[in-house]
Parts: sequence; C-alpha cells; structure tokens
Amino acid sequence: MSPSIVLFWALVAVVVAAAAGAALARNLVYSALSLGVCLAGVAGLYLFLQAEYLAVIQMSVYVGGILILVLFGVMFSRDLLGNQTRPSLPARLLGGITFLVVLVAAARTAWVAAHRGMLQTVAGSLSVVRSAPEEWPGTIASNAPIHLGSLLMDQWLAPFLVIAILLTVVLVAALGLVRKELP
Amino acid sequence: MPVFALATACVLLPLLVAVPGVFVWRKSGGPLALFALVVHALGFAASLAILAATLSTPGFEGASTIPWLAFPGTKIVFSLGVHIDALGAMMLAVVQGLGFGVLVVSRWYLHGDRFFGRFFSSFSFFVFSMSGVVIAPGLLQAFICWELVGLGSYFLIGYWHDKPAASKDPEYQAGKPFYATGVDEDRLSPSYAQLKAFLVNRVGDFGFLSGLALCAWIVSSWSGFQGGDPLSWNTLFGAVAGGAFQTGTGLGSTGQALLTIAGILIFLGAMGKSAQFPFHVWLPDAMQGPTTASAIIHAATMVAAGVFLTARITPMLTPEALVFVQWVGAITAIVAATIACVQWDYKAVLAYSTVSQLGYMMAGLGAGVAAGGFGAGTGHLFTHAIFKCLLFLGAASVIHGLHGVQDLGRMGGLARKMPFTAIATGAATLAILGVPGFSSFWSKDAILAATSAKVYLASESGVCTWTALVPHILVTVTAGLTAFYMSRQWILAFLGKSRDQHLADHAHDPDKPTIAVLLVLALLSLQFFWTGSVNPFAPGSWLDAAVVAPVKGVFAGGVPVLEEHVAHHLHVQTMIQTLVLLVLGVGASLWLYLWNPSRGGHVAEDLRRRPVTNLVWQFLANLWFVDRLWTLLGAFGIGIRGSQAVARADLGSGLSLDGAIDGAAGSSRLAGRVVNLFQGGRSGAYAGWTALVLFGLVSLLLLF
Amino acid sequence: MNDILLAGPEHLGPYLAVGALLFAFGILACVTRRNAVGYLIGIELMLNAGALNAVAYGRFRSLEAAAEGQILGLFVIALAAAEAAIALALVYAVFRNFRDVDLDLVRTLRS
Repeated sequence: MSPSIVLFWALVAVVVAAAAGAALARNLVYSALSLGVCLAGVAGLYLFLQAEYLAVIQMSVYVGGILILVLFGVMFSRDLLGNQTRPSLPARLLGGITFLVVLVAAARTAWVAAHRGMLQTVAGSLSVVRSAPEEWPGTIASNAPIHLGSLLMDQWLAPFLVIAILLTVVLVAALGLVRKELP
Repeated sequence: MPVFALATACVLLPLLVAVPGVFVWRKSGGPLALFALVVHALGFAASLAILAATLSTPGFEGASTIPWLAFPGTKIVFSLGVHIDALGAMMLAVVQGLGFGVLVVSRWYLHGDRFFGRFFSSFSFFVFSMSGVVIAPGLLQAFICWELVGLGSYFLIGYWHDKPAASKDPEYQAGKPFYATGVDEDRLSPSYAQLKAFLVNRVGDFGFLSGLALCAWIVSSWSGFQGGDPLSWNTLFGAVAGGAFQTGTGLGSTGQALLTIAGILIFLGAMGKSAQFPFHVWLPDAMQGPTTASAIIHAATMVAAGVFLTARITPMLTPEALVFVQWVGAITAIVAATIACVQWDYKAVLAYSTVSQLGYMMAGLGAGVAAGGFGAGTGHLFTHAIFKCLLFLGAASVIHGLHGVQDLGRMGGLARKMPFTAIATGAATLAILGVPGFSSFWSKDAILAATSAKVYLASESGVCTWTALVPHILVTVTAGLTAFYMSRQWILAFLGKSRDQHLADHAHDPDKPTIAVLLVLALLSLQFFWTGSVNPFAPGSWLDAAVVAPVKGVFAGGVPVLEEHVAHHLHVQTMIQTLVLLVLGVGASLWLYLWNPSRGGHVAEDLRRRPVTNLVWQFLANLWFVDRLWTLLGAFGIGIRGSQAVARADLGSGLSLDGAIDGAAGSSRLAGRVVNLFQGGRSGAYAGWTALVLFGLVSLLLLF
Repeated sequence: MNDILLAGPEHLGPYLAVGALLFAFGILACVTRRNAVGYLIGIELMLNAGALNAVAYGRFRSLEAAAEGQILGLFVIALAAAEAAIALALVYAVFRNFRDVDLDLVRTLRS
C-alpha cells in the first residue's frame, strides 16, 4: 500500500464526491464550487497519468477560466439558493434511470478494457487500440511537453489550426450573441 | 429543306413560352405576351416553309422518329417523332397561323385582365400540344398529345376560374336575355365548364385508348409484323391492308368486324374532341372561356383534331365504320343547327354553329374516299377553321366594343359604329353560308356532293341506300338551317335599329393589329384562295391533288369508281339545291328580323308564342334536353363519384384503397403523436433520452 | 520523486471508472437541473470525463499514444472553453428574453 496509491484513491474519492455535489446540490453556488473541486481533482489525476502539462492546462484554463465563467453565469439565476428549484418527478426518474444505464454501460466498458484488452471494448469495430494490459509501459518519459509541442506542430497541425480558428469564431459569435438588438 | 427539324421546332417552340410563363405571368404578363408573339410568328413561318416544301413535291410523305418505349421479348418499340405529309403540313400551317393571329387579337382583347399573362402561357401550351397531334407519326403520340390538348383546353376554358356560377353572378343576371331557358345556371361557370369539357372528352378518350390498344395488339401479333412501332401510320395501314385484322381474334369477333370496332372506338375519341352528338354538350359551355380562346380552340384547332384524326385513320375505316361516322356527323349537324336557330347569346350561336359544321365534316369524311368525301371533309376542315376563327374574333371585337354584352337582344345596328368588324364578320358569314365566291361554297358543296355521290354509289353497288340517303337529307336540310341562323345572327347584331341605343353609341372597332388580322382572315375566306380561280363555279381545289390523292381507302378495290360525268352531274345538282336553300334561309331571316320588325311587325315573337311552334321552340331552347340528360345521368358526377366509388371499393377482406390511404395517414399520425411525447421542450429531457438510448445500445452491443 | 509519489495504478480500470462516474453525474445534472447554468455544469463534467478517458487510454498504450492522448485532452479543454463561452452567451440571451434562466420557461419549441 504505497503512499501514492492511497493518495490516488483519495483523489478519486474527492473527484467523485465533488462530481456528485456538482450534480446534486440544490444551491447553485455550491454546485459551481463543487465543480471547481472536481476539476482540480481531475488535474491531479492527470498528474498520476504523467500528463503534467495537461494538468497545468487543466488548472489554468478549466479552473481558472471556465469555472469563473460558470460562476458569472450563476449570477444570472434568480433562485441562487435553490429554494424553489426542485426537479420534477419525471425529470428525476429519467435522470436516475439514465444515470444507472450510463454507469453500467461505462463500467462494463471499463471492465472489459481493463481485463480483456481494449480490442474487445466496442464489439471489435474499433481497431485503434490493440495492446494487452501486460504490454503497457510502467512509466513514460517526462519530457512530454517538448514531445507534445513537436507533435502539435507536425502531425496535429491541422486540428490545432482548426481549433484556433474555432476559438476566433467563438469569440466573435459570443459577442454577436450578447449584442444588444438593434431597434 | 430540313422539314423534320422545322416541324420539331414548330411543335416545341411554344413550350418556351408556356413553361416559363407559368412562373412569370404575374409580374411580366406584357413581355410574356410579346415573347409569345415572336415565338408563334417563328412557328408560323416555319410551318409555311414546311407547307411549301410539302406541296412542291407531290406525294411527299415522310417520318423522322426516335425509338422510345421498347418491350423486351417482343418486337414492339413505340416511337416518338415527326410525320409530314400534305394533310399534316396544311393542318400545321392552319394551327400555327391561326394561333399567331389569335394571339395578336388576344393582346388587345385581354388587355388589363387580371390574369393577363397566364393566357399566353396556356395558349402556347395548347398550340404545342395541338401541333403534336398534327405531326404525330402514329396513334400513340397522337393520343398523348391528344390528352395534352384536352389539358390545354381545360386551362383556357377555366381561365376566369374565380368567376361564380351564373345563378350567383350579378353581372350575368343583369345581362341575360329573359328567354334563355336552356341554360342551367347553377352549372354555368368557367370552373364547371372546364371540368365538363375535360370529362366528356375523357369518355371519348376511353374509346380512343381502347381502339389504340386493340390495334397495337392485333398489329403486333400479326405474322407480317416486322418490329418497331405497331401504331405508326405506315405499319398500321400496312397491317390492315395485309389482313392483320382478318386473321386476328379479339373481343369475340374476327375479321372485318374487328376492324370496324377498332375504327369506331378510335372515332369515339374524335366524337368527344369534335363535339359530336351526344358528346357535344361541352362546347357551348366552353364559351365561358375568353372569346379569343374559343377562336382557336372551338373553331379551328382542338375540335378540328377529331376530324383530323378521323381523316388520318380513313385508310383503316371499313364501310360499316364509315356509315357510323356519317350518321353521327349528320345527326350532329342537324341537331346543333336547330338549336342555333333559337339562341340569343352571340357566342352560343357560334358554338352550336361549330358543332353543326363539325358534324358536316364528319358526314363528309363518312362518305368515303371514292365518293369524294375525304377531300370534301378535309377541305371544309380548313375553310371552316379560317372563317370560324374569323367569326369568333369578330365576336371578340363585338363583345369588347360593347363592354362584355353578349346578348343579341341588346344589339342591333352595330354596323354604323363598327364597320370593320361588320365587314369582316359579314365576309365570314357569307363564307359559312356557302355563297358563291366564298370558300365554303366550294367545301360545303363538296360535302353535299359527296354524300349524294355515296347514295348514288350505294344504289349502284346494290347496297341498301337509305343508310346513305338519310344522312344526305339531314345534311342538306342543315345547309338551309345554317343559312337561316347565321344570317339571323349577323342581321340581329349589325343591321336594323339598335335595341340598346346606349350600347350602340359607345360601340367601337378594335385596334389596328386586330383589324388587320380580321381583314386577312376575311381575305382567306374568299373562294379564290382555295380554288385558285375567280370563277366560283370552277370545280376542285389545289388541295385535292395534294391531300386527297395519296389516300386510298382500305376497301377501295371493292367499291365502284365514281365516273367523272356522274360526279359532275351530282355536283351541279347539289349546287342548285344549296343555292335554293341559301336564298330561302337568308330570305326567312331577313324577313323575320329586318323587314318585319322595321315595319312594326313581330312575327318572330308570335312564332315563339303560338301553341305548336312554342313547343318546338321550347324543345330547341332546352337544347333537346341532352344537357339535362347528362346531368341526370350524373355524368359529371361520375367523374368525381366514380373515382370515389373506386377508392371505396372492397378489394377483399375489408381492404380498400381509401382504407389503405386512411390507414397509412392514421398510422403516421399515431407515430407522430408517440414521438410528440418526447418533445416536451425541456432540453434536459432531450439530453437524457439521447444518453439513455445511446448508452442502452452500447450496453446491448457489449452484452453480445 | 515523481515516480514514487505519482505512480498510479498499473491498469486502466480505475481511471475509466472515474470517467464513467463523472460522465454519469454530468448526465444526471443535465437531466435534472432546471437552471441553465446547472445544465452547463453537467456539460463540463461530461467533457472532463471524456478528456480523462482519452488521456488514460493513451497512457496505457504506448509512448506515442500517451502524447496523442494528451493532445486529445488538450483539444477537449480548448473546445470546452469555446463551448462554455458560447453557452454563457446563450444563457445571457435567454436571460435577456425570459428574465430568468430557468429552462422550464424556455420551452417555446415544444409540440
């Protein structure tokens, strides 16, 4: 029971609990803050996956940017404290059933991936991942950011540029959406 | 001279107006009309070129077709294309030329009308389809274009489709003559009339189609059939001559009877289109359309299509079929003539006159080739086209000048204010009367000569003569009646004292292009143009050599030939008869409607009221009750109710077409309602259902 | 130091389980919440789950795949940012029209 494993599972517990809190909290501000905790926890999980660069990005963009946006959005609500809002019974029913179905499906996928090799996860149609668990590398080099950078400029240049354009478009679009209507 | 290319252009050019016209008529009616003028002028020029080429080569006949519908396993390949001979070229020139002339007048007549542009689109479509019938290389294309002609006339008759029925139309009620008894006012409207025309034609077309199918079957199963289009003229007539119908069996009969049946069936189509009794009921109602439309459709072309078709299939008409044709024609002629005598609506007189003249043509064609009937019938077809078109255009001029009034009872003395119209209409009237010097003197007399020649030939060959004699008598009497009612109309409208002074004062002649067209047509109504000689008593016409000579009846061999001197004798005899009847008829109408009233007499009204003559008058004014009979039989309802009955019919175990369609509609509605349950508008629900279904599927996939 | 402290499980399973839970909670939030921002929170949860999955799969496949998994994660984050911006703009637009962001009010496209 190495310390890192304990740390890992604690982090997992935090993430899941925070997610539950984000989904279920009555009070919208609690929900948003729970989300923040969850995102931070996911950043930690990235660290465990030797994706340090991504962890940093996650913290700065997600927590430092998107969460702030969400908090701003929360300000629009009338029912901030969540006294009036209570999901209707059909909604809760549907939500519950969907939750269970999604969980079962995802869990089964996870189990199959973990124990039978990833080839069998989606009825054999996806042939991208092939290796069996025994072949997985234990650790990977930590010069990952340099590696990432060169990949971004090389193989993944097109999506990179597309996303850049997308972000520009989104910027303009968002401005357009909130613009005051001309009389 | 690329005649076939020109002919194809002639036929297809009007589509350039018709198809775009559907989209642009609302905004660009004026430019559309001008464009139509140009297109139709080109078509006319092309048709004249074709005519010149055809006439310069005696016996010209040719076809240019493309294979269209092949039936693998048989040798049948139906084709589409162009077939040119003298008859077709002449008819094409008539169609295109009159089309152009009527178009010129229509621009004036319909100026400012709320549907202005649509007229030209429909008109061009009509000219296209009619030309298609004329140059058809076989029965199949003729039938296809035949139906399109019906459609074109449907559009043109129902031009003012929003006009209410006469019983609800204040304009009609204000302007109708009080003695219009035969009119069923609830059913007098453009929309009803267009439906009536279409459905009555449908009845005839059913016969046409049956005959066509019969011919195709017999010809294609004939031993001598080489393959290709069994319904093309050459193949068809070759098969008939080669005895295809002798050896084939079908409909329980063999031999000549089968050919007779086929001929009569195809003639049924002609009966419908050419308004033969009892299918004539649609034509007077078709007067609900614009007068210029009537000028082209109900005078010159569409109704002539039936006559044209009968002329085309003459080589396959047996003597029995010809007897049928002649009888139908003769009966039509006299029935319509009698009705026309008591009509007080200007256009109604013309309508019944058209029906009567068409009967004339059929009677002529029915006399057979040997008796000269073919030449007479087709000749009258062309001369009648010209002067009837002129009459209708004159009517358009009169009606326009009187601001929509069509009641003869309110006209009179119009010649003073509308001299050109009076002259042109007068020339046309003289033509239809058969006055020496005018075209009909040649053509109408030819028909009478033919019918009497047939009587002669029948007596010569020992056949029962009364089957030929009765039509001849009927047709001769009709000539007198024609003289009476046509002169009556002209006198009532243009001569004498005006019965509505206000109208007469404001009457005016049409604009110059229209007058030009009227005068040109009047010139063409002169005999000189048709016989080529100033002498009105000169026999024959240039048409005979071109059109008649190539045609040989199927059974020409067995019929005795008409000797020259006998023909001449009969011709003189009929000429004298006609002239006598002409004088009698015109004299009667002059007396009744000009001299007597001017002396303060009222013999005409008295005749209407006296007990016996009143009965006759009622019978005629009620159109021989044929219309009532059709309505009683629910004939027009049959079209609608019949299809309803078919839809509801039980196809077995409670199924029906209606039920199937309702069921399909109902189940889609149900499916829609089910899906509706998921469309609550809540985005969360949408997301939830999407995820549920997606992941549910994934789970299902994983389970396997 | 990294290796000792941050050596996670040798298998993919736990990460996928976390991803699954995150995703399920995200769906729950979307379905259940009436508030537009709550809906947005659910979407962010789902996106995170996806990114986590991508990175995890990459890590346990090969060296090259690890980088690619991270790049995919990076793209997901970028897209999430773009999406959040637009979503907030929409929330604002809804707020302007309905004076509240209660999604139950925004049901005009129902049948």
